[in-house]
Amino acid sequence: MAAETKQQTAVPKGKTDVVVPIALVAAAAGIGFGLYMYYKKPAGTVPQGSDAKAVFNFTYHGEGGDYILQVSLGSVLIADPWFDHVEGMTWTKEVNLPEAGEYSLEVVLDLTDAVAVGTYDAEALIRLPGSDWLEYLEGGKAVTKNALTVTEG
Amino acid sequence: MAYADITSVIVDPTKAYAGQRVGVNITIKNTLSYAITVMAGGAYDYGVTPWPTLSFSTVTIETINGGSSIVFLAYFTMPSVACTVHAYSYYYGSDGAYHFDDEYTKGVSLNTTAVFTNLTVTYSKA
Repeated sequence: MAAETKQQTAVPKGKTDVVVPIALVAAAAGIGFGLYMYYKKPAGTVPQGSDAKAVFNFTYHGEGGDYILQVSLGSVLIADPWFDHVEGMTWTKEVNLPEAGEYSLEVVLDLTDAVAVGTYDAEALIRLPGSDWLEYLEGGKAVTKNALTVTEG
Repeated sequence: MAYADITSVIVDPTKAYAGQRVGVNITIKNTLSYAITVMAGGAYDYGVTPWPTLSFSTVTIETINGGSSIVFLAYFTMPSVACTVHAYSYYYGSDGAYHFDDEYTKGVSLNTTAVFTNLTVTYSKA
């Protein structure tokens, strides 16, 4: 019985044991990824009291008009539509789109010292002048998880 | 018969995207045989009160010879629902005041084609 057990667990002759190297490589990769994530600054890292920017890229299909680009910071509670705005953390910019086409437009977010340190989700809306601040146009909404990290200034 | 008779109201386009500028041409005819001073006005109704007024790219007050007509040019920004344009005319009376005279309405339907696609937003330090 003992001989049979030994035969079953022994490495077959001519084959290489790949379990240990794979484990080592995986461990090294894990440590490397952890260090990368620890030292990496998110793309949207901004000190308190400075300005951030949100760049809207979209295709416009209308025939020209005035619109409002709006950005709010907050957090996504459960799903995409459940965005919880932080009071006072909304910025708007009125723009004129003269004709249909591709647009890339920037909204500056003035992050005062009163903005708490932390990572925020963001909700971007495109709406009409005079409309309710949450009444966005079809296709004019984008929610971004972990959009902006505010650090101490 | 009105003195300052609105003979036509042309809206362009009649089917507009939300946010699109809609032109409104209001033609007023002096039905009297002598010149009078008339004033044009207008608003658009889409369910809010008070109705927003039309913006005019021409003067709103003109003196029109007897039997002649003048076109007043106005516009508004299409809301996110269909609306009804109301055009008004007033005549200047001998009492020194303008008096409401005529009204003309015209509907503008909403073009519900998707206005925006491929929206992506990136965030970074300014």
